[in-house]
Amino acid sequence: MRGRNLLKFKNGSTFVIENIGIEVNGEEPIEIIDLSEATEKEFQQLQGKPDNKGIVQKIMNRVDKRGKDMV
Amino acid sequence: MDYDKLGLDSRLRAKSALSNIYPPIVRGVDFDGQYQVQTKNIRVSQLVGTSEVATATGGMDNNTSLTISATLNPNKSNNQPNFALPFLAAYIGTSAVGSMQLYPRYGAGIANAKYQVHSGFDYQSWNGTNMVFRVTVENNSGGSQNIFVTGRWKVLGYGYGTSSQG
Repeated sequence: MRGRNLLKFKNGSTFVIENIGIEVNGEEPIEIIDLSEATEKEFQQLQGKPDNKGIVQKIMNRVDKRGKDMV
Repeated sequence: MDYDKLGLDSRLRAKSALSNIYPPIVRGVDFDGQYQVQTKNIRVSQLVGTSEVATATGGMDNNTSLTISATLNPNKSNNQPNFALPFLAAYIGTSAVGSMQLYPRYGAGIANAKYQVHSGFDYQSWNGTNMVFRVTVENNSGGSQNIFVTGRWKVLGYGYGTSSQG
């Protein structure tokens, strides 16, 4: 998988990835969150704790805001 | 008319002109299309390059398997088959700590009976032009574990563009 993404799997596993693919129990992720808007610091924080919901929400809010600003 | 007597060629250029003395300059692009190299020995600089870094970090429950897939896709503009070597390392934890390395070697802190690991170039999803290398880890340690993966490709850069990995 290209770029930076957060992958969520059916069994609850969460992975933060960059330029690599991950499958759990032979299955593709059920949700993919684009982390291209994450700062370097945020990405490193997620690498230390992939299930850090606060940082993920912060990144998603930023993406939402940018989308609204464009409209 | 015979221009030879005037010292000119058929294009009315002086026979002593540099363009008639030296062979024309062949640009790289022209050479690529016009010649096939046959030689016993060739020396090429800047043929081998390295890809961007790939990483993965996450949690793995007991009795689950994790498949790490490093794929290198050729540049679409030339679509020549990639030729590359993968360098991949996996660790228990959230960073690259030597004693906690799980693949390709077991670090001193890893009890090898707790994990099953195998890897290889995967024919299953190979399309003839890409490179696909996979590592599968099964966690039988009795508990949930964090895992950190990092790697890059060493790539033969004989095409016009760069390859993308994912």
